Amino acid sequence: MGGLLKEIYKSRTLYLFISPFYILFLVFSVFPIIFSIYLSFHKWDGIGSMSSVGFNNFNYMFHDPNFWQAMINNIAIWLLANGPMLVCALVIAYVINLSIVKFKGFFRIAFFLPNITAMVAVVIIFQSMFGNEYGLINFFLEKLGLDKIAWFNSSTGVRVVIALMIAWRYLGYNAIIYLSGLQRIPKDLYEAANLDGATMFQTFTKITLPMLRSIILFSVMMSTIGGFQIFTEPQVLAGNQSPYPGSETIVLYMFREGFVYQNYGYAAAVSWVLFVIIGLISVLNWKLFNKSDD
Amino acid sequence: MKIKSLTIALLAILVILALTGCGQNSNNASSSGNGNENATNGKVKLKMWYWNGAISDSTIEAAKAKFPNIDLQAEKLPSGGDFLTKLKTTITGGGSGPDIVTMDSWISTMLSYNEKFVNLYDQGARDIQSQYLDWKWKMGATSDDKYLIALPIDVAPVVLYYRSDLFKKAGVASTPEEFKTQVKTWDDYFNLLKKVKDETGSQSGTVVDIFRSLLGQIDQSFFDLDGKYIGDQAHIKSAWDSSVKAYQAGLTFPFSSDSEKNAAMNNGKISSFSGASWAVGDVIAAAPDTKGKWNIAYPPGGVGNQGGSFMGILKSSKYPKEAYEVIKFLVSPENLIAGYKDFGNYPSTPEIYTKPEMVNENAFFGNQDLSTVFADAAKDVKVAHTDTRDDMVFNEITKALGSVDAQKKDSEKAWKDAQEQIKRQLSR
Repeated sequence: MGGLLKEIYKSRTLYLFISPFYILFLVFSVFPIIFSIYLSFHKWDGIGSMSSVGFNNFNYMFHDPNFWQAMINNIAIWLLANGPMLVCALVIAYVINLSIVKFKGFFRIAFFLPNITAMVAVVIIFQSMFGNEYGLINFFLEKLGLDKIAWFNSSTGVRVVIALMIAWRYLGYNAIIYLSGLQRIPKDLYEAANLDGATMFQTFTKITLPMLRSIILFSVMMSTIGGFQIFTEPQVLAGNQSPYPGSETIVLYMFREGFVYQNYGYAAAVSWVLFVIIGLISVLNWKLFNKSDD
Repeated sequence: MKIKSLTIALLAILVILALTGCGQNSNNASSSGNGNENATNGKVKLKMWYWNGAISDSTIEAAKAKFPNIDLQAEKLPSGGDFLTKLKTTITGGGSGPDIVTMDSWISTMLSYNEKFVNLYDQGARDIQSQYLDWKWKMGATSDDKYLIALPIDVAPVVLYYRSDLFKKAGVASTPEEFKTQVKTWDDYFNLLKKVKDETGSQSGTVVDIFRSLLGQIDQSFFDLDGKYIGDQAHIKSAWDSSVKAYQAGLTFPFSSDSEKNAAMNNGKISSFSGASWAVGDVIAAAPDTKGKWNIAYPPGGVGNQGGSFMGILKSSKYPKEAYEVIKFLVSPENLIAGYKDFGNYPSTPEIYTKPEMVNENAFFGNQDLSTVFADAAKDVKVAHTDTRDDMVFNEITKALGSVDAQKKDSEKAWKDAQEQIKRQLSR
């Protein structure tokens, strides 16, 4: 330890040069994180004095049906959105990567475009497409002589709409990541398989998938973290207090408790529980996908 | 070696400067209190926070011209919850925040922290009190009326917006005068809506819109003066029941997003709703195809208020006197007319309601003079006691009310569930 400090002192000029980042990091990242732990054991409305409440915030949370409902909604939306989306992204990447496909650059950009579209704009477009009364989709359904679907009046409908938005937005992003992974796989593996008479399905499952495992792990992890942080879509779609069922996610729940109801301590507690959940699921992912990685 | 230590010393200074934002004024004690001694540029620097539509930009320019010794820096921030959060963080953080702040109807939540604001009574606010609507003025003062944290800007009287052509077609009251004499209660209004619906197929706003209007007309809200919860009592339940009655009679437009509501308004599916004065702009934007067919009238069930803002001075301000002069000017009756002309903020100063400048004949509303109706609706508003937890209660109740419509939930069960949920929230 003493040796380390001595080393640091020796190159103090260099450390001084990089210190602004670390000082800002301490002030704006580390301090808030530690403060939020402290806050999660207190009751605070944002201005007045804090009062210590022990584990009350956590206790209340685990007994609050709204919290569990938010958790169920969140997991449902996450599975609905990311499962099919990641499979499609892999298929798209595989197809773009095929040697017979021309204009690869064009497809790469075209699929990536949704990712840079402003999220609020996307939500508003989806809102008018799926509207209960004047939605574009209901308009076509009526033209075809079918009944209108009240998308926003059932939890399944709302979850499907939110999941579609997420899938639309991240499909291209994940496809691009898979594509770069595919291009990393040596060509000679495929040539060898070709010579051995492997079918397309066999090369895909025996070569492509195993070689892509680390990339898939990455995208699943990112989707998990993103999936538990869904906020803008339901917030713009349904607002803070809509009767639309199934739209409340954990971050939305946390936001409302903190910034609408002024229960800052409670919101901090929710954020820590969310942190633990994401951590656990990431570890689980890691274990599942990295099992046989030597 | 010497050069090296010099480098380190210089770097350290640089880092410290960068972190403290170098440009901060080091005002010493003698310069505070009297702004004219401010050494930097001879001007008193006042920072003001407001949101788009709170106060007219031309008024701010006028203030700059009127007070040449004041450097008024008006910063426009996003309105709504973001503004409140930013204000709270600034007050809590104790840093150098703005001098002048704009506040919305959540001013009541700030009243419990009145010590963070300058007492405007000490600055002479009693002298101008008589110019403002009494009920509005009291919203910015503590209940013992010894501490005033803000001056009123505008009020948001609630009126009835309706399609006179559709109402005429249905053969019911269709002029503002007829409304005032014939449609006195909500039941009168519902009976009339029934005929309009049968004849034209159009409805009123959503079940939640009706509940909100009903709520704005009662002098009690969810908590009493001691902070005891009274949101489960008869005054709220009867507003709930009336809204449900309107929904069950098929008079309300299905619960939906704003864009759906706007489309319905433009298509003639919504033929009336009660809304605040600022909804004028909303209707014009939402339903351009229906120009000239709308009118406004005195609302059923009596006057009510939704929104309306205030202007106060933070205690941290170094120049409370100058800041008071500025806000007194900004919210003076003459200057509030500009805000009314610009975006329909109805002034809180009754003396100007009859002035010729206030005449507001709008082609969208068939050249009706909107001001007379607003003036009528702005007087004698009953103000209910507000509480920091109002938002939570309101959200839970309207969510439950909306689910009666959206999910066809039994209304008694929805009411009971909402009350249980509210009590659980209040229990912690």
